[in-house]
Amino acid sequence: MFRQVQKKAMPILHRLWKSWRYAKITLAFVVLSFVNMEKIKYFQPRTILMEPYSTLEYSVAVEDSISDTAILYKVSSKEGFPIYFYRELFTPVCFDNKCRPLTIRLYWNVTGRYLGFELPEGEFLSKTDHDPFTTEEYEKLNGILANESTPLASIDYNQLTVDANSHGLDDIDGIASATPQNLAPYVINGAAYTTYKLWHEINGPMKRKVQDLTIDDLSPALVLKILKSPVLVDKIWALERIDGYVEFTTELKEQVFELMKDDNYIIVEKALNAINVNELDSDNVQQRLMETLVHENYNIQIRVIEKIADCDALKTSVTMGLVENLGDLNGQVLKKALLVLGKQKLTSDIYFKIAELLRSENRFISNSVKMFLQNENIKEPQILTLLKEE
Amino acid sequence: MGKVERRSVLKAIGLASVGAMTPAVLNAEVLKEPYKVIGKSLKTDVLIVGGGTAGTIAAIQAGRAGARTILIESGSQLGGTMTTGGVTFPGIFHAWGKQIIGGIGWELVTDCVKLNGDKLPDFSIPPDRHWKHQVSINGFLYTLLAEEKCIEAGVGIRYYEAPTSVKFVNGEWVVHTMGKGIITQITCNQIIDCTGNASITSMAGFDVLRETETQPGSLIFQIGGYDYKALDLTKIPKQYHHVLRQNMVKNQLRTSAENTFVPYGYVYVPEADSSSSESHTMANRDGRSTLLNLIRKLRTFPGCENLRILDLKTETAVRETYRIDGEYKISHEDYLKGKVFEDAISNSFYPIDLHREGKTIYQEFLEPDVVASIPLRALIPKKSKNFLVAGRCVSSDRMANSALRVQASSMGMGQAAAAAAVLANKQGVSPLQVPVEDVKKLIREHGGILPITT
Repeated sequence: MFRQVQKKAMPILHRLWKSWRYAKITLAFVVLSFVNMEKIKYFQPRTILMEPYSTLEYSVAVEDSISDTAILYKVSSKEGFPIYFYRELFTPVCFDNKCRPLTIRLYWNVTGRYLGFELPEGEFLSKTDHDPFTTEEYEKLNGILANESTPLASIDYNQLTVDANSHGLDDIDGIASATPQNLAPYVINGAAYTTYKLWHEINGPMKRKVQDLTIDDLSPALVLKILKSPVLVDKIWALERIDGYVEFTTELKEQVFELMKDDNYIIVEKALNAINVNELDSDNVQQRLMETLVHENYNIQIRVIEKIADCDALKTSVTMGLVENLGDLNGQVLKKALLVLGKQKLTSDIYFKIAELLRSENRFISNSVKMFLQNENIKEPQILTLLKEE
Repeated sequence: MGKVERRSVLKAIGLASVGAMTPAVLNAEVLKEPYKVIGKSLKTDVLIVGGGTAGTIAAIQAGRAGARTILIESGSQLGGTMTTGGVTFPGIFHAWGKQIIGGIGWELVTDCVKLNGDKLPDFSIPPDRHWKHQVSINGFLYTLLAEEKCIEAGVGIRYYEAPTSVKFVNGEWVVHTMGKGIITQITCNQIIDCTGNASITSMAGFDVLRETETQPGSLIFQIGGYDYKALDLTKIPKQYHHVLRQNMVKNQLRTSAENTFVPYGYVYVPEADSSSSESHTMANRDGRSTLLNLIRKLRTFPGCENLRILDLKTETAVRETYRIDGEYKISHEDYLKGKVFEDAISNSFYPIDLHREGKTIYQEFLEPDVVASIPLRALIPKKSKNFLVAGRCVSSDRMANSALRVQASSMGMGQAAAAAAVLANKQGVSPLQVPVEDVKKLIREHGGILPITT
């Protein structure tokens, strides 16, 4: 059998090899056929890059023209981490009061962020007069759906039309010039309703359900994975779900403090907020905050010193560290550091150390220190003399 | 005895009682010497003229960096456009998911937000409209905090004073000011002109420029007493729809959960110019009379019978007057392309935003990931010594200026100008001679965010 096949195939292969040009054409044909057979799908970066293993179904209440509930699918890894979510959407899209069904699969990232869409084999999205979307329009749609901050969020269906006397929603996609100029970047021309509908599906109850389900699965390990996402909003989402959600394990602590070095202050602020007030009693956490205060720039320092101010009592080593570095602090950071020190029980040695700054070249520093010492119950004669001198 | 005697006795008792009961203070009235204008002489390292958006930040920075600092302000409070002008939504501090302007301006803004119990917008997601990342603040708090921070920084604030002459004598600036009952001579090493009008630059003898036609100013107000949604707009002329919509009382209220933007009402004031008492008086008068006529007109429309004015800002906020002719002029192209200069000392992010003839706004938006920058040279007038400016009079062409003039950028400039002035004072040189890396270091040490040079 094999010999027979080989006998027939060999001359063909031989001819192909002889003509490289022909081979290239053939190869291109095969590839194109494969592409044509592929479903149309567009995606954004996914946070959890693990292999799908299991799928669970959840019924979610929705305000749909077809049904009042929809099924949301959660796809998880073998280890039980949620990877992504999806739903099958079947909805009518109307043109000139004639409707055709649209079937599309919408995907969400574990953080609730839009992940992508996929059409069934042979299915395509269409505009006015059933013109199919171009590749550029699919790409634009993918971008629009990924944009959480868009006028589509706050406008009514009817505002999609130019003419206030138009028939409203149903014929939006049927009016060639229906898209108001200022909305043009946020919708696909000739498919405004489709765009609007899909955007609201993505950002509606399903999104909240996705986030709720991920929160149900939250663990330090899952938070760690999300914190390593290349997407900013994912990191922020995870940082906002540490305090009060999961145990602040050593690994998580490491990652949170690592993020405090980020050059994006939004991340730094969220990382600081992730530390629960109870953690502030820990020697280790106080020490790490001090290290961050010493090594980072002013904008981070100001947030760190505010966090340190939440500590009930500073460890002796941390107090000493703060005093040692006082002269290097500027502006509001110095002011806030002095307020922190004002709440601590300070020894005579510490007062002497602080009093050295009365001779700082920077008048702001020396004046700030002077005001601080004047408000303390200083008994050391040498410091009192210095205060009189200054 | 009779009645007369009795009356005399009662009178005597009454007088005695009044004498016994009268506090000494009622008898403290003395004739005072005639009101006279006193003279005073002061010496400082850095003098900042104008306590508006840029000047307040410049003063705090100079003081915190250890310089003896005096700030003179012709009005009664700090903040300028932010407070007296009522533009209480400074921006823009963030671009493309990152913070691009920080430092003292941002510190003041966030302190306001915290003390008012508000929340900041979510800056991680670039908004569909640039103004959604402007931070709505409580203007009253800004006034209080700005003053407190100046005092903490050791800044000598002098309200109600304005310069009458500026001369460079023996390597120092001698500035004469006139205020209520006082003429002051201030000798200083460095001047920062934060008047917004380049007034001090011009008085000092350096060139300033002005367009033939300038953008209108705005007098900001709030109105209420009507329900916009219930109005029959077909019965109200179209030109009034915008003002009614913009002033919806419902939208004026702060929803603390999403402190992004408070819509505001304003009337345009053509050619508003705050560079002299007379022109500023005219701008205020024009704005107020326009508003009064508007209120009268609006009240004639159905549904607006009970319309009333709820708030009116102290003065007309000005967009454009004079610009300096600086060591470098930022061009429209520089701005739109996000050119990063070697001596860039602040970022700037806002669309080109030119209010034309008080009717339309010409806007050009920066492309994704583009952030404009401001070189130190644009803050230094040509041929000047020991002199800087900050704020909307930055050296730039008209289009670039229409974007650079906004509050966050002015704050960034204020901080940078002060850093350069403090170092110039310390090093005994002119700002242009201070190594720019030193300026950048000082800005960074006080929280300023610098453009990233490749």
